Amino acid sequence: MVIIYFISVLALGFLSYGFVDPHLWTKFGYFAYNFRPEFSIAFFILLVLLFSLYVYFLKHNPKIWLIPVSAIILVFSYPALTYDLFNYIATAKVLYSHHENPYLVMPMEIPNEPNLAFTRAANKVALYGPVWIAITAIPHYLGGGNIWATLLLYKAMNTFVYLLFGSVIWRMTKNMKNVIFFMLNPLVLIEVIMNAHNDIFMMILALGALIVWQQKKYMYACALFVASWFIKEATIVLLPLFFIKNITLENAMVWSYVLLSGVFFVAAPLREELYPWYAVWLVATAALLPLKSHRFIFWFTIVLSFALELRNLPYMWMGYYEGPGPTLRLLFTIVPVGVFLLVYLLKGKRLPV
Amino acid sequence: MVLMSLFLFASSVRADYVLPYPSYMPGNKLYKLTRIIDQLKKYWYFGDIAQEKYHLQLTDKYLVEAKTLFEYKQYLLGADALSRSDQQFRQLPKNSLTHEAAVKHGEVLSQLLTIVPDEFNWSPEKSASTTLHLKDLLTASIEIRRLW
Repeated sequence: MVIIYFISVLALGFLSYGFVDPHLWTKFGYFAYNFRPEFSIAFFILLVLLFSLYVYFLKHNPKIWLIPVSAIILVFSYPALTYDLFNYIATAKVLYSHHENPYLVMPMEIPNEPNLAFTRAANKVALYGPVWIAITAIPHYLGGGNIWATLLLYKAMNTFVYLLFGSVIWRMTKNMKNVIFFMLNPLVLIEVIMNAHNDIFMMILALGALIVWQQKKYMYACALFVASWFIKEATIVLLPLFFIKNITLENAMVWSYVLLSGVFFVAAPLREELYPWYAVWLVATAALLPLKSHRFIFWFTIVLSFALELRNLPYMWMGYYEGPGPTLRLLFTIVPVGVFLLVYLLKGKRLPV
Repeated sequence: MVLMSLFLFASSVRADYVLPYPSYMPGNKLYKLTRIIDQLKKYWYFGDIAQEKYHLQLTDKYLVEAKTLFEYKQYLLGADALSRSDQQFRQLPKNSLTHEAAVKHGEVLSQLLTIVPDEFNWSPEKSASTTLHLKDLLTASIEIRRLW
């Protein structure tokens, strides 16, 4: 199983280079776009394999080294499913190279900026808080202006926080299943390491704040919590939890899950769309719960993770977002979740954890 | 033929340069606060591009303030707002955007030339009077913009 798993992770990393922007690598740019159905089917098969093996490893704890090795393989993958990482790079460049205020100046306003050739949505000012802008100084300066080095450094930075959060899970739960639940979740591997979204930074700070608040270190908790807002403001919904007296950590995590689900399912689609990487918030929160006592959250999160990664398929196959895209994305999300809800209604507490 | 005719008779579309709505006027409780905020914004608008946006924003804002005050015959306050608009305008680089702003400002100032008197004598009760050569002030402001 471990060998099949590593082959799947390697295949995912290899496949990701089919989506390289042609302005980054002229010879192989958008290679996958000439074989859309084939790549889409391959991606679907990999998703099924990775999620199946994920569930298998949840039952049969694998060796711990599986986690860092998977992470290292994906550090060298290409951020195939999103252009957000290029926006992070462009925004950092606006501030640190061009010395302009990224909250006022868009990347596309910088004359002759070469990064614009492979940056989408360059017509937006910085979308994230100043703490994230400060964090991006690290890969910006260490990357030395080399786009490939900078990409790698962002992913390495994400991997460091991913491993750090894994250690937090272990310290809090002392349960390897919880660690694997988060660290081998294919959505987490894809969105945090391969695509290098910054949600892991927001979550480690917010959940860390809740943990530290429970330990009565109120100043540290406030600092961590405010820092998480100044990455992405989604965790502001967790503020009421700090005012509930005598709330246990478990209840705080359950309510965090509920509140973040509200943002995820209601606010996010109203604002723009249900993005798969937002589920990192839910997987991270659920990983801190005693999973045996929260079967619904355990299984719902796994099924949701799978359903959300399926949302990449319509664009991957068709090459555009419109047309049947929105309906297909909705179906890919609703059907697996709907089937799970039906199964849970029928089997409920008999579902294994 | 139909496609060709579409190209032949197509007209280009461009948006006019739009000045902002008037902000708080002198006499409003929040006026002094907005002036302080305008000064503090200088530090937030760091960088060449942001600085250009800052000066453009303020030159437009103070021009609209001057126009409104002149229309309400508040000539002393209007002259002060106009001088602030000129000061901000001089900080702007010469490019296509600031040229558009200059053209629009010129239109507004030319229109004001038709409604203000040549001179106005402001005589406060307890201090010396001031003579405002309004048409000269407006002409000087138009000349500044003409250079852009």
